[in-house]
Amino acid sequence: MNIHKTEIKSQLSEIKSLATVFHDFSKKNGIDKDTANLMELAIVEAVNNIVIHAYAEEPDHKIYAQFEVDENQLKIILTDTGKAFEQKQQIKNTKTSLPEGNWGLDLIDSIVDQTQRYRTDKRNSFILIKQLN
Amino acid sequence: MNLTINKDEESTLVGINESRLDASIAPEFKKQMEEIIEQGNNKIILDISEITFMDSSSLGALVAVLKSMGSDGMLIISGASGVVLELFKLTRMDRIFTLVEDIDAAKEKFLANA
Repeated sequence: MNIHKTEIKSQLSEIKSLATVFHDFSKKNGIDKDTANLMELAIVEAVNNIVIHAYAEEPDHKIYAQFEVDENQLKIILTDTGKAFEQKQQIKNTKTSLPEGNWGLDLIDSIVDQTQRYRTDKRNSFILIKQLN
Repeated sequence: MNLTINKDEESTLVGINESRLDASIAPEFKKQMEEIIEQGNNKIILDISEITFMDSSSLGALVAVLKSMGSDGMLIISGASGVVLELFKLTRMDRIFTLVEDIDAAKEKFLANA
């Protein structure tokens, strides 16, 4: 298993650098480009969520990312020390309205095979798992 | 962010000279597009062929732009590809927006609707 750890500041402008690190990791580990591009979207949506909801866009915090890959799966672990995830954030868009957002969590679910969320010692962890075979 | 604007008789072509449209620039993108619409441009081809990455915040900004065009406006999105096109499909926004492969196809659509 190959593992890479990194961290960024809790600013939307920093997320691009995390995406670059992820793509470097993907390339080094032979993850196909289409999968890597979709996983980038899932990661960005998850990190947007952390910046906006867990940290309320306060810029002086950290978001930790760990990328793990073996022959079977890619696992992304995102950790923050912000506010606990609230179930109400998972608002489904209604059919009667033209939505301007709230796609993030649904998008992640569409892209990855499994997600896990938990909170321990005032830290939130959001895990995205994609099967590679 | 950098938008280029070219007008002809049928439509206004707006190009985005960025490779990435994400949450950090979505508000500025929305603001600039709304200014273009306020100037009377209500037949717009938005060329996103240079965009290699877009997130749902930016898609939300696009929806807001579409809404601000009103019922007599028309917005055609040209050049969505790869994961950008996937974003439209996964959110079913490909059923809401008019997506075409290139600018010529967009201009043909405006001519057909004239």
